[in-house]
Amino acid sequence: MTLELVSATEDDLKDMVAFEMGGELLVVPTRILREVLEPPKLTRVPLAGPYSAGLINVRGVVLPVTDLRPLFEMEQKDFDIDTRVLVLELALEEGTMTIGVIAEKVHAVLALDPETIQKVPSVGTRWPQGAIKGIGRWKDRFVNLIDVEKIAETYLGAVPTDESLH
Amino acid sequence: MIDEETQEIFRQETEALIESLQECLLQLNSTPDDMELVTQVFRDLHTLKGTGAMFGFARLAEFIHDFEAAFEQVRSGNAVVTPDLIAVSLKAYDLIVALLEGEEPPTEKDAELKAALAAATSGEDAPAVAAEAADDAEEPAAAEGELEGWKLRFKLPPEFMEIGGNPVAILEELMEIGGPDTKTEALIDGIPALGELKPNELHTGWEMILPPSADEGDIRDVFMFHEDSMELELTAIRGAAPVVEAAPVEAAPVEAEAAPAEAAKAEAPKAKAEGKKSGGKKSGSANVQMRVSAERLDDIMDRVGELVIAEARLSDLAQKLNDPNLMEVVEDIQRLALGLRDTTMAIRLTPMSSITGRFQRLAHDLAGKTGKDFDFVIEGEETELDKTVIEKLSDPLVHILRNAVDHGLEDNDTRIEAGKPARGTVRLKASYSGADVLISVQDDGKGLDPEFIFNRAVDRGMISADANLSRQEIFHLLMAPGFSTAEAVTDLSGRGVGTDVVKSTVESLRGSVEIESELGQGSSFTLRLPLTLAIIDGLLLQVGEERYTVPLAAVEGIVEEPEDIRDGTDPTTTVELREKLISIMRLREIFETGGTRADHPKVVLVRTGDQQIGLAVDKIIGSYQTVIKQLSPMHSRLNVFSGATILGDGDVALIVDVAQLVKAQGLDHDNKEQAA
Repeated sequence: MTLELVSATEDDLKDMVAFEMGGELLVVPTRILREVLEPPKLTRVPLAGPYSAGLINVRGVVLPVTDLRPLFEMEQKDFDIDTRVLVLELALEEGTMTIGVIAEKVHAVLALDPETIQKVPSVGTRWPQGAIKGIGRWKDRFVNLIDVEKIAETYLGAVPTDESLH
Repeated sequence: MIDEETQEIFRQETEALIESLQECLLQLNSTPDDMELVTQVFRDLHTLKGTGAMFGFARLAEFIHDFEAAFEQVRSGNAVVTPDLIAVSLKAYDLIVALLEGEEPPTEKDAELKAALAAATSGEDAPAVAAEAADDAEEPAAAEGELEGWKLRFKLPPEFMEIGGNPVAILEELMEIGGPDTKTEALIDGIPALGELKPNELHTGWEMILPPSADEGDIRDVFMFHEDSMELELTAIRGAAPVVEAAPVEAAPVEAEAAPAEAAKAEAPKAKAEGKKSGGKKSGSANVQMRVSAERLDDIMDRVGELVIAEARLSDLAQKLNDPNLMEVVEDIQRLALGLRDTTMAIRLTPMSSITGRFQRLAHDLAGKTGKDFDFVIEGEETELDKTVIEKLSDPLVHILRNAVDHGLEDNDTRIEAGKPARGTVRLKASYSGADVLISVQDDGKGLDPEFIFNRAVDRGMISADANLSRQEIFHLLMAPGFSTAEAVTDLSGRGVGTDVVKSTVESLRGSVEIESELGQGSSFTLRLPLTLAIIDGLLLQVGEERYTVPLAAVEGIVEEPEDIRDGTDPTTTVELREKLISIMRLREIFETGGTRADHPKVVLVRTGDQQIGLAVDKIIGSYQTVIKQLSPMHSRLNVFSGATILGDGDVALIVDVAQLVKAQGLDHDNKEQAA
């Protein structure tokens, strides 16, 4: 069953950046990728919950960095020489949000065949509701099209409020 | 047609005038005899008219012309300020605002208001008569004798030609107005000796006699753009016809008591001419002001922010290199950056008085609509806030004020029964408190009933009936979306929309709302806002291996951490310091920083509201210029941090919002009361 995809997404599929996390291959469109950074010094934000990795200074701009591994129930291994931060520009309902996403390793930019894209089964996967747009195939590997915008809107804003500090 | 950009410039130009106009009108309501105010109204109208005409707002200019005429009547003593006049004037003011906003209200409205204005200044009710009276006002002199002509004496500014003016064109224009009977004479007494004469400067003045057929307005219009910088005298030449005889001709329908007023008109033309002149001079000698778009100011502020960060980096480097020559330069740059920062911030600061006019107006309207008598007192108008903050505050304050009058104040009879003065008081007060500005609206009305609010919130399904809420939390339900305590929805408030705007606006400005109330005594809503949104002086602290900044303005002292609490691991504790019991927040525990503990930990004493709190930290690093960077939506809901900043070494440090942290730890007064 081929997933019905809007044309914008079809265009995106020709130009995806692939990265690895917890043994899974994930892709996001290069359209939203601003840059790839070597892991800079992170300033932890206390009380911000498990998805916040901290804040970084990118040429005078303070950006939040998220670690999606806890969300995907993946083990958080320490940073190594392959670790990168993908700086993504997301179009959210409240406006654009520039955010860093930790990647254990960044692979090549690749083109996906729309024919291979399938819907995610609603049960039995590690992916939380709405986090994945679909699963495709690339060189005998599954690639997961993550919906960073949806993730940011659904999960990342949901930091503990002050009530939980009582 | 006027393009949008022109309209925008015009609107900006007129903003201050409009504010001043409204404020004067409202003040006149309480002090109707204040001629200074009358003159000010007249001046504002006059300037508005001139600017309006200049920008092509013909309808506006024409309308203001008649508005101005009405006040001319008052100024010249022909009419007095009555509540009626103020009421009509405020309506006329609204029309002006509407026209300025680019709306197009029906044109009958102009005529109607013009007539009403004229009526209010003539002592007559009938608009038909009033319309005549308005014409009358335009040419008050007609009443006292045959107009024989106009004597015009003018001297253009010396730089007139340099700025592109053409005196010949002016003369030609005047000749056209006056026709062939115009007499012109050059005034050459101002021309300097030949050696000092500069060919591009104008020193000649002119005196002209124009025939009575010339219209005063037309003559003045010739000088419209130069009025402020030139000398201009325009007097009517009149026959010696006795005033009283002339009066019946012109003012036949006017009642007998109006006659003395007519007589007083004899003074009018002179007063008018002088008034115009002094009005012109006044604005000419005023502070030289310049309008800059807020966007550019933001730009400057951003750059200053970057400069401050770069300066911190440089200073860090210089410390490491320890070169005295470099240090000297660094200190210079530090001083300059600091000065630049202060100046830039000062540019952005605007006094509260820039928006209080509209609140006075609101209070006036509310008194009218609700029939409740109350005094509206404004204190601390000189308190300054960042311009963007001030503008965003207007709407929330309008809501709070409305609520104070509509729901807070009782009607006069109820007040008397309760043993209170019949006249209520609503107070708008602005003041500084450390790094914050407090803006409060207090009323001496019936106060808030926590039980009533609680039950209502339960009814509305906003909370469960067994919810355990503090007094403050209950009061805050008032600002939750969809809450309205008004039994009947009124025109003024109680529609349940708006009050949540208060909370969201104030929070978007990183402020908070405090509500206090005593049943039967009144209530007060206090908005607590940071003084600035851009750069603050911060105290940099080390906790474990991490660094945090607190606003220096909140810091009251630093002491060694008392030995007896050093080993505790509770997030909060209490200790006796300087013979006072003080709550201590252990940042290491609250922020779960880990890392090694310093040998000589410190306690930073900070003030929040009326409370002193101690922050237990490992080390004080020093005071820093802190450029506040807003947190992204990912972290902004975490309100214990008001932002982040970039340190000299390029690292990011979080700025601790002490008040929020105190609240989050349940150490604020309200929670204490509840616990007790």
